[in-house]
Amino acid sequence: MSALPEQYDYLGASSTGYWSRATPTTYSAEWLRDALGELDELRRLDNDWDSYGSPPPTPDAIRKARELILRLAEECAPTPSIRPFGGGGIQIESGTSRSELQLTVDPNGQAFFLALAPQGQIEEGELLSNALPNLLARVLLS
Amino acid sequence: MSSRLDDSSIPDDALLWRRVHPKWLKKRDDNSLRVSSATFKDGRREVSVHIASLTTLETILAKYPGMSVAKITAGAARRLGHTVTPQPKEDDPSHAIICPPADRGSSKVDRDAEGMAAEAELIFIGTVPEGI
Repeated sequence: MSALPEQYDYLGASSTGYWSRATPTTYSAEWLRDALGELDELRRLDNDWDSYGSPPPTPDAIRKARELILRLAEECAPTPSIRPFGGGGIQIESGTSRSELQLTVDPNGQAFFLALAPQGQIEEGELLSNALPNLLARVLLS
Repeated sequence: MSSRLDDSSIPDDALLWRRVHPKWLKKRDDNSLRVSSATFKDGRREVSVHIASLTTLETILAKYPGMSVAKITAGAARRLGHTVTPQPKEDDPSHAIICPPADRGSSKVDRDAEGMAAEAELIFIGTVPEGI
């Protein structure tokens, strides 16, 4: 393997498709490698993994979830939980014991957010591009 | 408007059971377990449950070792505007589905899933992943 520029992390996992020469280490929050590994596991779920006939997460959902995980790492978000849900979608949860940001990626790759604040206030909507930093800050500071 | 007709023969206090995949378990601050809202989300807009009075825990878990089971009431789903409709299967006469109103947007359905997860109670705990 040829030497890589210092700012890139190869990690030798090209078969997963998640790490490449274009994955800068500036994204490398401590949990990022594990999170991308979890996402790769979801791709390998069998049909009926949920016992109710669900297919595994769709390629569109995986692609969007990966993008959101990288954005969360870039924002130094708390370690996220990554969960599949029925029908081929993925849910990403990040927050504290008091508040949480839930990102839902539908099977078609469309993303939505649910912000849960300490006193039970809930805000939800479509996740617009570039909205993640503000949403995360609001949740973590609430 | 709902995508399914609600069946009023299922009373509000009827218990509905849902198998819970290990990935849907999460911990509260006191380390007790609860279910994530992912438990009550489905991209097909139909969440399968079992009418508890028509089955047993052993029956619904027989083919699915490792799964946990959560309960909610039919009334909890209805208070969020969802319908509860029997959908018996050849091998499972207790099967039913919870559906959101047809015109409800995805983000509101996600909020409803959080509401159902908050109401749900784990009644059987199967495999618990390390590090949750």
